[in-house]
Amino acid sequence: MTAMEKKPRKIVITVSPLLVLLAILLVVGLLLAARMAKREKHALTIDDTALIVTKIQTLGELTTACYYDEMVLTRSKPGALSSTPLGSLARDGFGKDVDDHLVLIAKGTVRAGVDLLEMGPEDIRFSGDTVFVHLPAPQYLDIIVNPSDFEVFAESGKWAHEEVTKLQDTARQRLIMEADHAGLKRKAYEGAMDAVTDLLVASGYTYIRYDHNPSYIKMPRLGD
Amino acid sequence: MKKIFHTVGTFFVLLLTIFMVPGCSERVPEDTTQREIEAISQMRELSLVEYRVRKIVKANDEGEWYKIGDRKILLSCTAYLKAGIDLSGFSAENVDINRLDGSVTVTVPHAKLLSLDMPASEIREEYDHVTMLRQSFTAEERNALLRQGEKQIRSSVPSLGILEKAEENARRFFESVFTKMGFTSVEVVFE
Repeated sequence: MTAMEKKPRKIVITVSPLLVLLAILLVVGLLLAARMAKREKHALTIDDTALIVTKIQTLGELTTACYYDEMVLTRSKPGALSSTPLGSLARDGFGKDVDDHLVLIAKGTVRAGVDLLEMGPEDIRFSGDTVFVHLPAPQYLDIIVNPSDFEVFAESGKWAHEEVTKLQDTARQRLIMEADHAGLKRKAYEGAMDAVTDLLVASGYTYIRYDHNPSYIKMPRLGD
Repeated sequence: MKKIFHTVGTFFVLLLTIFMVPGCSERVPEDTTQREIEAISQMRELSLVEYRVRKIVKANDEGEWYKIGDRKILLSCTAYLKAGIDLSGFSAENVDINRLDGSVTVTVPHAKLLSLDMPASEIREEYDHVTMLRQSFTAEERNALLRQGEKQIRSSVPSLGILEKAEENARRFFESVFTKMGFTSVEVVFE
């Protein structure tokens, strides 16, 4: 028999089921570890950077009333697929929503009161045990909706920072409207009168007379 | 051989389970505890100083070992911090008048941070770099970074000197008010 006529040798590889099981367990273990590591590192952390003070301003703001509200802010725009044949099919054929959506929940605070620095010497007059006071018009001193006050409830598609900021900014406008409706300025003015009265009475004065700010008369009452 | 196929099949089922199950359970239900909050509340706070501060919020997301590429973001923001004193407990007991020598001692609480305002309109994205195989920063991720920035600003308050400045202004404020009332000597005590 020549070499060419030799019967080809059969190569047999035996794989032990135990080894396969061990390999599977190893891979599964690695994947689980990676998954856990991902969860731990899921929250991105920022670097500790310096805080630069750009302006210091002296104030004399007496805050006497605060309005709190929560609201839902939504914005939609055509999604990346919406103008494609696939998007049209999904929308028209299957009634699927192919738009991008952003839904935020905002918690905001409006702080109102009077700016005592607006008072001149003529706005407070002492006469015996009586004081005549003319308080400045009440105003919204702070409208606060910080990043910690926003919750991204739903987000689909790509949203640029400017688009998100624009939507977040509408929360401030809505807060002002709601605070107006709730009569916050009137409440703040009345609170300022109480605060100033208490201070003057504590200082030994018996009668406190208010020459009301004209804007106070026009202010709606709570629930008007 | 059949055994091997069976084992490999089980392995893929396991893999699918690992990737799918946590994905479904990632969204933890929100706390649905009912809270009652008054829409309008009364307060008595005297803001005496405002600091305008700027901060750079920067993050570098190199990702996990199985993610290729990285993401970087730089946001600049402005915050307005107001400090002053809480006058809600102020009463006649806080004013000690001595009629004989025309002096008065006013006792007020120590200054504290009264408000922190970080308007969205003053937050700018200065730089954003995302490599090809990574996803862009989402609104939720950007907000999470800004929340951390806000927290850092809040924690910097003691070292800013804003509280000392507020107490300095409070002293001046009460001295001016009581001098107008005719008192010759005004002492302001913080406790």
